[in-house]
Amino acid sequence: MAREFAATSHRVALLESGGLQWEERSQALNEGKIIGRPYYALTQAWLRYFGGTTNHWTAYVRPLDPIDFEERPWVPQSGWPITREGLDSFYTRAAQFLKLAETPFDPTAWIDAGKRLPWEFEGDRVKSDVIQIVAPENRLLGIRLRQELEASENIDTYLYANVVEIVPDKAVKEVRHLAIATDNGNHQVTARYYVLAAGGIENPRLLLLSTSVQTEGLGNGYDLVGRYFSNHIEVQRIATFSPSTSSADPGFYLPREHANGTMRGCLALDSRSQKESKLLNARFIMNPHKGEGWMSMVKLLQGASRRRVPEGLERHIANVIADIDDVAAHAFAYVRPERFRHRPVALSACAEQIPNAESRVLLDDQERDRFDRRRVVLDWRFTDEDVASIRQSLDHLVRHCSASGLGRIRELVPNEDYSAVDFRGSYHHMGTTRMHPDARQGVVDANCRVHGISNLFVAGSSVFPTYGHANPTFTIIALAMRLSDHLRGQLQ
Amino acid sequence: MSTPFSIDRRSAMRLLASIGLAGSTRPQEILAGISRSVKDPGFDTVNGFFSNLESASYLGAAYLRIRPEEADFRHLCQALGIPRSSEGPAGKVPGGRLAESITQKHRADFRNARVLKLAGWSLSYTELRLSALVYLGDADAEAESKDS
Repeated sequence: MAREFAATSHRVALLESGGLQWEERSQALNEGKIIGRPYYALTQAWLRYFGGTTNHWTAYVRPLDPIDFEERPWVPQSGWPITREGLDSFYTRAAQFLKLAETPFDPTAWIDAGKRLPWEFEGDRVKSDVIQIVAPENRLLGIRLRQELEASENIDTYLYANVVEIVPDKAVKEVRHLAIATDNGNHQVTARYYVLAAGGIENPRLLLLSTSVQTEGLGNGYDLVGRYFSNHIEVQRIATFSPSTSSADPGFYLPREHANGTMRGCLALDSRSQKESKLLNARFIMNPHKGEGWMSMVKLLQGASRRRVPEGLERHIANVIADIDDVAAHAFAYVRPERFRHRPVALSACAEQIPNAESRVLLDDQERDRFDRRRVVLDWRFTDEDVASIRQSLDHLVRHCSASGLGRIRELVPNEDYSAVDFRGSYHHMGTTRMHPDARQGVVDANCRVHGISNLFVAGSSVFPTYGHANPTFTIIALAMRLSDHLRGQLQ
Repeated sequence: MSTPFSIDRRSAMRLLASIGLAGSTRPQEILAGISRSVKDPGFDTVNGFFSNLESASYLGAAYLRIRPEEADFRHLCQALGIPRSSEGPAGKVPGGRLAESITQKHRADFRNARVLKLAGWSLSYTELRLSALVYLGDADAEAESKDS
C-alpha cells in the first residue's frame, strides 16, 4: 500500500514491528495461547519483520471465485459487499505487480503443445483451476521493495515501531494518534488516515487492546472484533487417484515450469455443484504418491540388484506388507505402462469453513508481552458441517472421475472415520475484522473502513467475510490496491 | 426385470471381509483396470472388461455370498443388458457394442451415486455384477471340466 503512494504529494509512514530480518525477540511478541483446535505455534504463524508474511509464503496465487462473493443460503453470514467483477481490475493490477503471466488463471494459457491438458469432466461439473506460483525474485516483498521504499522521498519506514494502541477522540469518531512502543521509549504518530495491516491475528488484537476510550475495544461496539477467525482446513493425502486412460495425465496439476511462468492446477467443483449439493468451496491438489510401501520396495529391489542387504531390512519388509496396496499399484503401473503411463497421485484437500462467530481471537487475561500488553488467545473452531462438506466434495470428485472415465479415486481415511483425521490449518488468518455494510454484522464497511470511525481502515485477510479455497495473498494485494485508490480519492 | 439394487453396510462389510480373505488378491488390481474410456480399443466379452480375471472372480464370489439371489447367469445378463450367449459363459458373450453399453452403465452408476464403497474404493453396481458373471463363468467352466 505504501508503494501505491510513492511519488505523490502525500507522506506515508510505514510502521513495522520488527526489523529487516527474522528475530526471536520480535517474534516473541506473537506468543499466546491456543485454546481451540490444535494449531501451529503462534510465534511461527506470522512474521514480524519488513516484508511481513511474504517472507515465508508458498507464493501460490489465485483469485477468489465469483461464488465466494455471493450470498449463499446454505452458508450463514456469506456474501461480500463487493462483487468479484468489482475486484477484477485490482486483480489485474495485482498480477502485474507480481509479474504473473498475462492471463494467469486461464487453463488454456498453460497447455504445452497438446500435452499435460486439463482433464475433461462430463458436464463440466469439476473444473481445473490454475494456481500460479510467483517467481522467487518477485515474492519476497521486503527484499524486493526495500530499495524502492528507502529511495522514496515521501515514504518513511520505521522499524521496531510497535503500535500498542490506537487512540480515538472522546466521541470515538476518528483516530487521534497511535501509541508506539519501542525498546528505547514510547512515541506517538498522528496522520490523516490510518491503515491497520498487521495480519488476521494482530489486527483484531490491536483493536481489542485499544480500550482507553471505547472500553470493549476500538470498533468493537457489537462484539465482532476477533470473531469469525477462519483458516483453510487442509487434509493431506485424503485420497489417491489411479488413472485408467492416457488422457488422465496429471501433468497439468503437478507444479511445473512453463514459458508463462510456474503453475500448478487443482480440481474444484463448479458453482452449480456447490449450489445443488450445498457445499463449501474446496480444492484438491495432486502430488506424486509415494507411499511408504513403495519406497521400501524400491529399497529392497535396489539392495537385491546390488546384492547388498539394505539398512533397516525388517522395517522395509514390514512397510511393504503393511502397504501392499500401494506396492501393487506402482507395480501394476510398471507392468502395464502402455495403459497406465502414470502412477497414482495423492490428493490433498483444502477447504473453506463456514463463518463461525465462536471461532475467535481474544486477549489473555493474565499474560502480557514485554510492552505490558495483553497477549493473544486463539480459539480456532470449525464444525462437523465443515468436515462433512469436505467429505461430500470428495465423493463428488470420486463419482465424476469415474463417470468421466478418467480413473479411480481411493479414499485413504481409515473406515471413513473423519473424526480421527489430522485436520491442519494453514497460515491463512481470515475473517477477524470482517467486511459488512451493517455495523452489527461486520467490523469494516465495503471500503474497509472501521464502522463509525472516519479515518481508520483495515487491510489484509482479516476483512474477508468468507474465504473460498484460494490462498488469500492475491486477494489481499488486490484489496490493498483498491483501498489505496479509495484513500487517494479521499485525500484529493 | 432386475431386482432393486441395494447393499446395506453390514453386507458391505461382509463383502469386504470376503475379499480380504481371498489370499493375496486385493480389489486394487481389479479397480485399476475397470474404468476404461469408451474411446479405448474396447472389449467384446465381459471378461475383457477386467484386467485381472482372478481378482474379478474373487470379487464376484464375495458379492454373490451377500447377494445369493443374484447367482443366476441369466438374471445378471438381463440386469446388465447383456445378450445371453447360447455358447455359455461370460467370456464368450458377443457384441461389439458391449464395451460401450457396459461402460455407459458403469459410468451412469457413478453419475447417479449407485456405488458401493469398499476399503476406500467406490465400485459401481455394474462392475459388481460383472464380477459375479466372471465368477459364475469360472464356476461353469470348472463344472464342465469335471463332467468331461
